[in-house]
Amino acid sequence: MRTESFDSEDEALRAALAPVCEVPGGLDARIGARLRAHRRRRIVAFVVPAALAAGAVAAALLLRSPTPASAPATALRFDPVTRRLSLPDGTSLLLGEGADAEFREVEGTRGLVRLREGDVYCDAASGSRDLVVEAPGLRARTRGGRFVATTKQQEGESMNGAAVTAGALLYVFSGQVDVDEGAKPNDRSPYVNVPVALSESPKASIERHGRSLFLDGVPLLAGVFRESESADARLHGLVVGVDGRPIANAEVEIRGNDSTLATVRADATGSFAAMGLVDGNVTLVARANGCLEATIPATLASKNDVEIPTITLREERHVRGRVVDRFGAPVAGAEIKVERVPEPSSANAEVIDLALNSTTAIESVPYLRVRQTLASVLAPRFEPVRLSLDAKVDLTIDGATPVLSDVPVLSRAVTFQGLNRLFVTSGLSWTGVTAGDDGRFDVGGLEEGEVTVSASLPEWVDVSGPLKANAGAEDVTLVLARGGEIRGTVYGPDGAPLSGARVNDVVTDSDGRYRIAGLSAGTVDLFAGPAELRQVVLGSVNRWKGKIEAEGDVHLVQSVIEFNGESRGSVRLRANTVRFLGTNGSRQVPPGLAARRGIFVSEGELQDGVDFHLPAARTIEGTVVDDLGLPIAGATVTFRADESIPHFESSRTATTDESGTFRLIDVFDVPGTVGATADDHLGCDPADVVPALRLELPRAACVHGQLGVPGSLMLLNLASVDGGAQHFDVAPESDESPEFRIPGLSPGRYEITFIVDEETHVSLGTVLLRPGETTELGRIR
Amino acid sequence: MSDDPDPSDEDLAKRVRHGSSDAYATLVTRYARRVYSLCLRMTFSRDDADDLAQEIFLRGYRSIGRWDSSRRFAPWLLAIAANACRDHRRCREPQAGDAPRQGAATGPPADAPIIGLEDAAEVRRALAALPPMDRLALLLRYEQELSLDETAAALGIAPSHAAVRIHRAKAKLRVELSKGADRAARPK
Repeated sequence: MRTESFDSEDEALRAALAPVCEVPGGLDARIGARLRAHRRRRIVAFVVPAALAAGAVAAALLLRSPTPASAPATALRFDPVTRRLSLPDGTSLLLGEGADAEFREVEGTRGLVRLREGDVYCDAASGSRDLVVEAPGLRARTRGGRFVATTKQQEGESMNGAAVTAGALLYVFSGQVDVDEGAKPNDRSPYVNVPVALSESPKASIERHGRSLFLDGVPLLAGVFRESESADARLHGLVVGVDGRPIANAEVEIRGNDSTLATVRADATGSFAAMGLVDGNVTLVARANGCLEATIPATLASKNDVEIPTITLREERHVRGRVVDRFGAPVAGAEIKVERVPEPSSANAEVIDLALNSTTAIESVPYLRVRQTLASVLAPRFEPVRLSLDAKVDLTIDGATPVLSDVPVLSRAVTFQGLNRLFVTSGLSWTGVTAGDDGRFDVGGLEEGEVTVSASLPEWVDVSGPLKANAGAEDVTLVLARGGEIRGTVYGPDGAPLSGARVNDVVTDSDGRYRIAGLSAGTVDLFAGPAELRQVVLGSVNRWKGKIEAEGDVHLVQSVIEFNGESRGSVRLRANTVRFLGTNGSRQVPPGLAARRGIFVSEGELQDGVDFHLPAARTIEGTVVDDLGLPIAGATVTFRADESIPHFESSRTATTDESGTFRLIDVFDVPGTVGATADDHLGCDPADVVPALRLELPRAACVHGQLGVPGSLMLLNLASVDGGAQHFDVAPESDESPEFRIPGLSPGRYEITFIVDEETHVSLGTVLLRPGETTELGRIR
Repeated sequence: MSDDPDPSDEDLAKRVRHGSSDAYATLVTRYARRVYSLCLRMTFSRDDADDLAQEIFLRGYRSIGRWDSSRRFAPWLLAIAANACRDHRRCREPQAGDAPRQGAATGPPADAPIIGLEDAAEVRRALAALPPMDRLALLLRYEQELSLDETAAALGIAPSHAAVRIHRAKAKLRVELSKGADRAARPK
């Protein structure tokens, strides 16, 4: 067990950061109201205007001294402990903590709420349409899917509702209010489309202009009003097995966009029905013991009775087995993944970028669909592939707009604990469970056919999988072996342990220590370097095709470019500007400033003491000029560490600016040389690093001419009069043009011969090639 | 069972899993302040914190089936809270003017100097200036008093990584505090 201690600074920090004492009044009640709404699977709310008295009285007045007169036992009952007002028909109101309000009966069972200070929350059941509330001065806003009347002007609050003329009575009526809080199409708050059940008879004081509600000319609710006489859509259907026999007691869940609207059960004849639903598109998820889930979309409209096509549930299959180690001992807690690879013809991969290895919980997901995998991009299209840990998938729910991001899909299936059925369509399907303490597992929810079974466990290696089996197999044995482990310390230039340094994907702790476990047997390349460079997050990147462009002194330090489910790339680099032009998938990028070691590790072996000593970094500056001393813009300058220092990947590259100046930053201070190249210039010998380094690239010569026959090829022989010869393939610039050009030649006097074939040589005599000039050779026949 | 006058969080959570909504109401009461405080210090907005706290408890209720009853309830709930805070669209980089509102939150005074300063409000102001993830790490560790392992789990990172993050966040906090001290010392 980890032992911990706090020092005095920690204790002071804990004291300074003690949780705030001030919690908004009624938070408990609001949470309670949302939970009840969640349990009911249906939201019905009342608009509760409130009375605002000038000069609000002290808070919680009513809570402390409720008067019988304000809460008649016969019609309205107020419990000061729960702060709940109960109406005879089951409606209840919750008074926010610290609120000052009173309730009284109006016309028998009709109630009135007068709110002077604070919040009131309605928890109204359907059918409660006789609530009348007095509303001089109202600020109403949504809270967790229902309307809240409050007298407070919250700082920064956007107005949902407005002041209402004093003394007005608000009669509510049946309808539906869409609250538009400026939500974007794919960023809807859970508060949109809140059905509001109101009283039967609208009064003249309420007007509807366009799609907004007004009370005495003042907007009542900032939102959109859509009249709907009744939120009373119905649906019914039948659930049967593959043999056509009805499945009694099958569960049918009706899902809206954001939540479950209702859950009903089929009767003995397999029939089910649901009513009181809100208009719109829904998805029905049918389940029964021993059967696979079935999902059916449907569209509901007011007062319509929608008949759902008969839902057929197929029998599910299981794969059972156990996970053991090399010695046959059970291994507990391994995540078991059973995949079914469909026929190639049924694969329907659709490209989307993906993200893994995050920890967002998955809640109430009926099924998930992998629309594309990185693996399937790397493999031939439609070829069944196995997703790897670094595969990236995008998730959709019911085929709708992707709503989950940063979801670990095929990494270690911790996330899927409790989610026993995960259906992945479009190319792959798989289901996962966790092996028990005895190493045994039972994966259900499978269709008939061949599957592959594999196990994964942090720091272990699956040495047996993936195994092929038929759905229904009872004794599949998977073998895991403890992976190798490497530990060590990263030291800085001063010899002190370097905290926050990076070794591959691991960051060193406060003692400079790192640990990489779960390694397969073999040689592991370790790259260690500082991890202090700024992380640039690329936003709004569309898909993942293209490349990254960075300007300035660019230092890419992350070896893998990753993308998350929202089509954004994340890459750590230092640069003045960065542009994302897309890239063809995730790819390896050579690490930058890093010490490198290859370590061999065996299965289960611990390699401790694999330390890195990072030298100091330095900056190399200089200029690149030609043989006339003129600056060369756009030259590529590269620092390379001496080969005698194999443990450092210190290659650095920069480009010269208009003045021929370059700057290589964060170069390890190890022996090495700097070279440069530029178009139309010859190279230079690698130079040792000195301050204000000056690299000279002589101007190159160029020859130009025309071939006698377009499309023909020749060999050009340049024999220097000073000795030595060079051969060049001569090809025309295009199939249609006889023109050819050979740049990058060393200036000097040459004997030029064109070799057409073994027997045909065309000599041009001696030609002087001048630096920076193009020598015309004419037409070669 | 329910006869226990002061059941543990874990007992209550088990009851919730068996359908007791009253038990969850008790948990809400117990944790409303902690969760709200975390949300407030992450969003800088009382309204957002209020909404977020509701969302967190709702998520907790919906996900109670995934709580591992062999572990403590509080870190599990706070992990949900941490996730919600990270996901919240308004959980953002600190803006000018945030700190005073944050500083208005009440808390007990520090008994001992904290990183060279005695003013707890100043610490909270400095905290507000940190990047969200650093802030979240410190809040989970010191406000919510989670262990290092629990903090790491809530952040979804390895304990060693969490230790480094906290260490670096504290270093940034010191820098922010020194800035505040410089401002205070500057002649008006």
